[in-house]
Amino acid sequence: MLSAASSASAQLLTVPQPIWESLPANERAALSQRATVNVLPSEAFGTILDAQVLNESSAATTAGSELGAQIGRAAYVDNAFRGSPRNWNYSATGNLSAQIAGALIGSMMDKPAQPRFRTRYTVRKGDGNVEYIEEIRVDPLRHPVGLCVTLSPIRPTNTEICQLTREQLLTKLAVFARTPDASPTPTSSAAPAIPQNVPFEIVNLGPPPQEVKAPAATLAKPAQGRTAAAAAPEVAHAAQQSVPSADANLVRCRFGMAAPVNAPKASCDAAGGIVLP
Amino acid sequence: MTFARSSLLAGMFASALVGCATTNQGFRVADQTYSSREQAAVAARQRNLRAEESIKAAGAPILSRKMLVVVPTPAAFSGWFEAKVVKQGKRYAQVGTSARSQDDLNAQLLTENLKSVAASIRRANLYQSVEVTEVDTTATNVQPTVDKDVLSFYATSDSTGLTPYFHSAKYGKQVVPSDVSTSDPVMRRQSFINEIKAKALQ
Repeated sequence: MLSAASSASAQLLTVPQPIWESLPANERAALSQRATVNVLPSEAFGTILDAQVLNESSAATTAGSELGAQIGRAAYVDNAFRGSPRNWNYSATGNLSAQIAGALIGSMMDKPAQPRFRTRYTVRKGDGNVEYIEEIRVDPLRHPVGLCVTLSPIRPTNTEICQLTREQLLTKLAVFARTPDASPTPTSSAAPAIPQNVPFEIVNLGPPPQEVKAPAATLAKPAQGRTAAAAAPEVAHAAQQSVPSADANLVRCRFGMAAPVNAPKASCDAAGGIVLP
Repeated sequence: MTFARSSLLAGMFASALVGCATTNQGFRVADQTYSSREQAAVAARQRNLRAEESIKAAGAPILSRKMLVVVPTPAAFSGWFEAKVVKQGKRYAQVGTSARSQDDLNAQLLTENLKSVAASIRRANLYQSVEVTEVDTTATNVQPTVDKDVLSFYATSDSTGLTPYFHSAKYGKQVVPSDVSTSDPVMRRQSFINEIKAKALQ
């Protein structure tokens, strides 16, 4: 579920879409504040239930080189025995050279072997639907049954993505949130143990440890133990407007050939936009 | 007769050479061919640099938000190229052959180009900060926050190209149109940054 990202500041947290959408909006906002969240759509991953491979390969053809060799030999013999017998000049080496040359030229019409293996995977997608997905490869290697894969293309991925439940996610997120700079492994020694009787509500992951007032907060107290931005995203939106917020007058602003947008005049000017009449 | 034999041998030799000539056709960057991969990469970096330097910086960050640019790694792009070929039922070129080497170069240059785009956004001074995250996939759906917009690039084996998405908590996920009417890297970059400005300030 947690995959590596090279950014110095963020860990990429991959979460299946059905589970992500089962979280309340404010909890999603709280989580997004803590980690870089990559939501994997339901149709983008699944578990392989079955795999069948059909060999559709075609054999190589050498008709071109064989025909070329015969033509080369015939041409040489015709030349060697042309005219009066006194002028005949046959040599076995010359005959062989003509054959080889003819074969080389004719080989351009040969067709190499075309390996082609059609693999039909039966996949249970993230939304529960079972579908066939076909893949054509030049070798008969296929993924094993039971493997968790991302689709288009079919690639192995972390098994947790396919087996994760909401409760498991909440447990892991609680640990993850408490140790944002530590290893995301739940068994990390830096992570505090999660009491087994704590209801797995995502509010447990919201606050940094020093801000926690009540570790077993529940959804009944949505603002407790969360950052202000996460608890009231609409307020944060208002606060994260352009810096010159004193200029409340929106103007029609255009940047180059981009479609005009409504923006504060000061921001439009500062960004090099053109204020439209 | 000696002439005929010599001609045949010369033909054989020429045929053999034709086969060799197809293994190294140089490296292409924007319709130019370079004899080595390094030269091609340098040329691409110079194009990126020219494009970056064409972006005019605002005096101070205009927005109080941050931006995260999600950039696929070269390995992710290589996987995308391979998936597109394999999906057509064709053999993917072996490592070392001309087509495969060009694809490997393209994968590297794509990643560098997207990082250059991030550098251009940073240079435009729209955001408080611009971070770059490299991911091993070309299909991401990274979530924005109230104080962080996300620019990501999406492609699957069905995609003909790379689609940039601007994702903000306030306005959702929007495609960023790319100007394909010109091949000039400076004009294309300016057009892209203008689109980012419009989406960021809306």
